[in-house]
Amino acid sequence: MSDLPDQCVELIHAEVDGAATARELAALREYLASHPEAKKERAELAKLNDVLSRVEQVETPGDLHTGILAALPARRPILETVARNSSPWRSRIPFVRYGYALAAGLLLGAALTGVAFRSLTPQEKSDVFGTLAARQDATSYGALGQTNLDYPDLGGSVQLSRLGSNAMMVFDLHSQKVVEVEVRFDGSQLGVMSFDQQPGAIPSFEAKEGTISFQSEGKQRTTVILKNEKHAPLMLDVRFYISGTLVHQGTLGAKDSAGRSK
Amino acid sequence: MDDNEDLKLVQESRQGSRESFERLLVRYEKAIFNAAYRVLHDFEDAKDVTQNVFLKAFENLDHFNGKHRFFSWIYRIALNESINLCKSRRRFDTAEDHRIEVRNTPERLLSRKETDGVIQGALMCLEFDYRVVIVLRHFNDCSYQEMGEILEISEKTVKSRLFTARTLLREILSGKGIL
Repeated sequence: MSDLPDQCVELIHAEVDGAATARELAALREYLASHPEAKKERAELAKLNDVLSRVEQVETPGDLHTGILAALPARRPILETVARNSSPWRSRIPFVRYGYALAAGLLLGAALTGVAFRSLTPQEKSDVFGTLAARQDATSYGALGQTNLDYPDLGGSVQLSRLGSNAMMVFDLHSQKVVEVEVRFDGSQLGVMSFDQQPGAIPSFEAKEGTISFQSEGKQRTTVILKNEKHAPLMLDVRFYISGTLVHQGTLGAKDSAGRSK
Repeated sequence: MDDNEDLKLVQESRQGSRESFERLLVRYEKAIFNAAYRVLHDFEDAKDVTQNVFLKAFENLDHFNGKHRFFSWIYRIALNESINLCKSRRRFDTAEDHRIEVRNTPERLLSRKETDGVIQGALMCLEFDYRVVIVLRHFNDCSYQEMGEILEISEKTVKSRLFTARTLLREILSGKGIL
């Protein structure tokens, strides 16, 4: 680090960045004339600037533009902001939520003597949206499927699409209660790339190898992107719980890495 | 870039014009890809981040506040995506990961490509926050004000971070014989 006065350093950087005024430039010139160490600092910074300016831009991949266009949903979603009925402290302390869920689960477990979840009907065990069908406007690029969830306490939809080498899940859920969503997958093949929740982001997202879980409440859109570097077949086990009770279970999947059903 | 034109394209995209969104894509895809590449130093990761950025932008256009610049908004998404990618892989890179052997003697001048590689390696030796300001200023030609908008920090913090980043980068590049 240089021992130059902060104001001098700031001026030198501003000059290199083209952010100095005429008056500041004049003051800097005057200062440099009598301070060789400042002159040296300026020369070194100018050299760094010159070296960096000669770095060439990277060409974008040829298929990037068409890939993005193909992956865009056919229509833009319309999101409505709804007031959340949870208190702020509950949102900020996820353990409290889990505490409620755990207590409810224990009570239920005790009552049912080992039967933690109610039996699922064959319909509930079926795929969330069945076998993936290629989206018509995505041709060979991606596959997109959707299912609607229609339960007394849980409504909305789930989508799975392929995005480059990644798999993207979009959960559009609405419920007056806290919905716990759990997704299981082959952790040796897939990894979590990003998580996003709108509106707002509650600190309920957890990821372990092969499992992710999050909470949704009110009307929220949650987007989870899984990295699929090994281009493995997609097979995701998705479960929805309310107050510790399994409400819906299904699998999202594609038989090949491109998301196409064979 | 023309901010008014961006706003017009955003408005048209909100009303369902895919053509307008494609024009936004044309305007910014190269800059976003390059920024992501410089920050992540991985071609495929930069590609994935760029795809995610535009998909998220498309889905969240209604959340875009017209009081801000579109390019600031989309750069912010790109940096957040890059940070998420780094975190999810637990690979905030260290100097050791990007050590590049350089034998730069008077008899052997580095080629343009080699020099770019050394500079990229030096960038990856910087902490993420420092790397980002160098990328935004020197590769994306952002002003202090624009960097502040993108990073949601004050101009004063931008300057402080940039000055430190440059000092660190100079030290590394001097050691590599580039400066």
